[in-house]
Amino acid sequence: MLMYARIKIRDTVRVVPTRLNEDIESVIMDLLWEQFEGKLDREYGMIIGIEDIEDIGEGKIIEGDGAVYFDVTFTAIVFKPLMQEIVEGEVVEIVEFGAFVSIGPLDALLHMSQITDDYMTYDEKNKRLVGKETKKVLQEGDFVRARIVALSLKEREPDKSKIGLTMRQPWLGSLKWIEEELKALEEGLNG
Amino acid sequence: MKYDNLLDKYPIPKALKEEIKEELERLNVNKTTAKKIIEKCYEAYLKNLMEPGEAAGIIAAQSMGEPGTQMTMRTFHYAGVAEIDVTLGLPRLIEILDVRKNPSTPMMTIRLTEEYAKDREKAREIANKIEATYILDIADVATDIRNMRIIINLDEKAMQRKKLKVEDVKKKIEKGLKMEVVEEDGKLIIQISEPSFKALMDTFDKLKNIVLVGIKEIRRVIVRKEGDEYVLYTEGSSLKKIMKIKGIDFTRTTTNNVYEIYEVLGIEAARNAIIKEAISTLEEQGLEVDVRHIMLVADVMTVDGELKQIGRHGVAGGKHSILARAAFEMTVNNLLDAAIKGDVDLLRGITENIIVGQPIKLGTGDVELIAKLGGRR
Amino acid sequence: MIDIKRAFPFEYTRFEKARIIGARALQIAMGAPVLIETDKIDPLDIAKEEFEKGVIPITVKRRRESFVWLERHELF
Repeated sequence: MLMYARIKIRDTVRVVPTRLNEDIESVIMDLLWEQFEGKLDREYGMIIGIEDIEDIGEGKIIEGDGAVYFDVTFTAIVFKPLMQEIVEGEVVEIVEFGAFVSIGPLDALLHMSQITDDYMTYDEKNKRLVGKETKKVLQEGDFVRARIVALSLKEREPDKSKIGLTMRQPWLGSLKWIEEELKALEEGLNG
Repeated sequence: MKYDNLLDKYPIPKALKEEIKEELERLNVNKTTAKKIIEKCYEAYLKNLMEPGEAAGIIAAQSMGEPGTQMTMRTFHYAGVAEIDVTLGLPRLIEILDVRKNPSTPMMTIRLTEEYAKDREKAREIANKIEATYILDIADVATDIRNMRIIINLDEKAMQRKKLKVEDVKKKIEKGLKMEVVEEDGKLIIQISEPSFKALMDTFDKLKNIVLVGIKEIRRVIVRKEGDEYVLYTEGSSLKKIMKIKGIDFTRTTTNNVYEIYEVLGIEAARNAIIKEAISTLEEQGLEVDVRHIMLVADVMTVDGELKQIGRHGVAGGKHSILARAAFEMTVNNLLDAAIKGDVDLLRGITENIIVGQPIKLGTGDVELIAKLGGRR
Repeated sequence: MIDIKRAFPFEYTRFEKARIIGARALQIAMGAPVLIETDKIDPLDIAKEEFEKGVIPITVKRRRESFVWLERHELF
C-alpha cells in the first residue's frame, strides 16, 4: 500500500533548561513526538509517528535564550492518501448524508450517492443506510473497500481535511456484499 | 649571548627579547633563574596580548579621537628652531589621514653624504643648488614702457652668493622666454618686438617665474647644524628630484608629504611615513597616543598596496556593505545608488548589524556556545 | 624557526567567559538544575561559582583553533 511511508526529516528542537539533566536522546524523542505527531504536510502527508533518531547535532545556545537548540535528523512514518487509491476501512459513523470510514489516522466521507447505484435511505432508528431496491445494508462496524476520489488536506487544521470516497464501481463496496456477489457468481458458473 | 638559546623558544617580539636580554645580562643571573624570569615575562606578555574578539579598530579610533578633541585649532606654528612654517595640530592630522596629494606646508629634511655634511660651505653649496632662484632674487627688474623693453639690473653680491654667472642667467632667460637677451654694461635687456603693453607685462610675468637655478618646488632652504653634521630643511618638497642630486644621502632624506613617499619609495615606506607623521603631530601637541593605534590606522590605509585615505574615497568608501557606507557619509546618495543597481547587503559587518538591530560579530557577540551534554550515542 | 601558527594561549577569552556565565545564569534562572551545592540564590552568583569549579556543561566553538603569530615584530 502506498498510503504509509517512512521519511527522513531534519529539524531543530528546542530543549528547555529544566530538562537538561535528563538523558538528552529521550528528551529529544519526547519533544519530537510532541512537535510532529499529527502534523500534516501537503507534500508528505500526515506524520503519525517518530521511528528513530538518526543524528543529534551540537547543542547550540543562542543569545537571549537559555534553551539549547539541537539539529536533529530522524525517521518518521507518514500517512499519505493518494487520489484514485483503493482503500479498505471500517465504517465508524452513519449520518443522514452518508457514512464515515476510518482509513487510518483520518476518517473519509462516503456520501449517500456514492455507496451503490441504488438509492440509499437513512434509517435513523437503527443508524444504518438501506438500499431502496437492492435492500443492501450499510451500518457501523462494516468493512468497506472504496476508492479515494476527493482529497483536500489542510496543513494548518488537519482536522478539517476532507477525503471523499466512492464505491460505485465494480468490486467496490462493503466486503459482505462483495462476498455475496462472488458466491452468486460462483453459483452461476457451477449451475 | 648565553641567554639567546633560552629566549629563542618564545614567540616574543624582537624588541621585547632585546629588552629582556639586556636586563638579564645586567643582572648576570644563571641559567635556571634566567629561565624562570623569561617564563614570567612570557606570562606577562600573554596577559597583555589583545584577546580574539576585541574591537581593536574601535579602541584605536577612540584612542585617537579623544585626544583629537583636545587639539588646538591653531594651524600654524614654527617648527622647532628652523623658521619654517608647518601645519600642525588637527589640520595636519586630517591632512595625513586624508592623504592629501598637496599638503599645505610640504617640508623636507635633507641629510648629506659624509663629504658634504661636515663642511658648512659645502652644505651651503648644495642648498644653493636646490633652492629655486628667480630673477627677482638676484636682480632688480624694471620695465621701460617707452622703449618697450625690460631692463634687468643684476645684483652682483647676490649673484656671487648664488655662484651665478651673467652668461648663465642670460642663457636661462633666453631659453625660458624664447626671446633674445642683450647684455649692455652689466645689464640685461629684453626688447619686446610687439608694440603692446600687454605683451610687455606678460613677458615680465613670465620672466619672474623662470627658475634660474634649483628645483622649482623647493622654495626655501635652511641649513642647520645638528650634532656634528649640517642638515638642510626645505620649504616645499620634491623627493624624486632631490634624491638625484649628488652629495645628498637619500637613505636619510625624507619629506612630510606622505603621498610623495608612496609614489617614490612605495607602500611600506608610506606606512612608516603615516605612523611617523601622525605620532609626531600628536606628540607636538603634548598628546600621548600609543603607536599601535596609529599603526592599525596606517595598516588599514595601506593593506592592499595602495595608499587609501580614511574616508569616502578610501577606506570607508571601499566597504562592501551599503548600509555601512550609508552610515558614514552621503546616506541618501548611497542608498539611492544601491537601490538603482539592486545591490544586496549581506549583513556581514558590524555597522550593518547594528543598524538592523542584530547581535554583532564582535566581543561576546562573536562567541558560539555549545552545550556539552551526556547521552550522545 | 618558530612555527607561525600556534595554539590559543588563552583557555577562554574574557568575552567567552562572559557569554558562558551569562548563558548559564539564564539557564539557571529558567529552571535548569544547579550542578553544585551552594547557598547562593542569585542565578548569576551560582553561574559564577559553577564556572570557577569548571562544571558548566557549555563550551565554545572556535572557528579558528589557532591564531597566526606574526614573525615581523620589529615595529611593536
